[in-house]
Amino acid sequence: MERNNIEKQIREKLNSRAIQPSSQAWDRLDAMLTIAEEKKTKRSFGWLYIAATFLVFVSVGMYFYNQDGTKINTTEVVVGNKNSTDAVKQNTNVVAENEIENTIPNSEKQSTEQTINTSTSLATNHKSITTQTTRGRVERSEANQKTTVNPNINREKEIEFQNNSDVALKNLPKIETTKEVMISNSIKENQNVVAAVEERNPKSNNISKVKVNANSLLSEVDGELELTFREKVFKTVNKNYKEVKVALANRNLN
Amino acid sequence: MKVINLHQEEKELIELAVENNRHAQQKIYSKHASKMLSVCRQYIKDVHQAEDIMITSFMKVFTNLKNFKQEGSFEGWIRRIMINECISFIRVQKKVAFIEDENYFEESYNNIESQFSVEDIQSLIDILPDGYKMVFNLYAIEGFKHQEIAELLGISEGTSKSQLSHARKMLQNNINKLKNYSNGTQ
Repeated sequence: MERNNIEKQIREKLNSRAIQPSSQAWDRLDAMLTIAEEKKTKRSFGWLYIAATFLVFVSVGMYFYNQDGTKINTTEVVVGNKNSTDAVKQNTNVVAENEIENTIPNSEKQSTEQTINTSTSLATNHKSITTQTTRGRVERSEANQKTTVNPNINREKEIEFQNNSDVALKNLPKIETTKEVMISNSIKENQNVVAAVEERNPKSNNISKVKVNANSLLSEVDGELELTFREKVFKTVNKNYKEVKVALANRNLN
Repeated sequence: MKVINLHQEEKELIELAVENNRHAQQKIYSKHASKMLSVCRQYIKDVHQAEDIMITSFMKVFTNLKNFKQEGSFEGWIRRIMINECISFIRVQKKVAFIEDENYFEESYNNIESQFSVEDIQSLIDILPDGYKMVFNLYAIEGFKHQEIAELLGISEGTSKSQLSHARKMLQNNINKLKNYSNGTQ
């Protein structure tokens, strides 16, 4: 059945009809549009906030990442710092002198010359102990410094290091008294060795210097074993660059 | 020339309205509102409810205005949005269930020569159940094909045809009743 007259009439009449909406209709639509616009602007601001917070996190992360790198460099400086080790030497000498006083009443049987020798051997033993303890202290102090590290203030670190080593050295006599019996046993064995060394090298200070250098070298090796990813990358890149450079130079020569 | 000018004017208004120019939006609204309220009224008996649907439809018109390609009729585009909104409102609010009924026969009107007022026509449509009303409106007034109606309402084409057939039968009865009533009063 095709659309007949009545349907045509219905269509025409309905299509030509117009119903005037109420006067509030536009106001309501206006309000809805305004709300929608506000939402849109809010949403865009929300994205801005998200972007800003993301940037802040990234920058903070980068800051800490870079700090990690500088931290390791500064610790190396501290470990390999000759001034600090010299300071340790001086302090250990002072302690050694104090030790002489302490050990004299205990070793009454031994002659005064022997006591002096033992004191020097003590000093050498003591140095190894003190260096170990100070190294332990240094590590601790480094651990403490990690929380309050400022890569720019190397001097302060050195001062702190020295202070810490001083504290360590002040504490040392106590440790020494507890271990005196052990050391006094080993003193006899060491006496001969030290005496022989002293005959060859009258200046005992040189030996101690060599020993400290060995320790610092060892610690440097330890530091190299614990290279960070960044340093590894730098090393490999540098190595490869040198290889390429050499290869190019050889080719040019040929 | 006048038609071209009008078209140009409409195009400019649309461009302004896309940029949330409230003045342009109001102009578009006042130009089409009364006609669109009439369209909504075809589907929804309550005028206030029809107005609500019209407002939300206009909201959709303005938020999707950037998607309108300036190829077809702007009024036709708005009208389509109105119809979609009315149908979804009826389907959600009134939960219309279409009875799958493939058995129908072509209904023919008796020769009705009498003229009816718009109000009478509207009241005749208002009496129809929502399912019949939607199919009849879409087919007889909007000129949709059964396939399009089936897609729009999510029913089969056969159901659309049977719904139309039932709607026409009911409408015929109601017209006869109305005629008898008006004859009786005369």
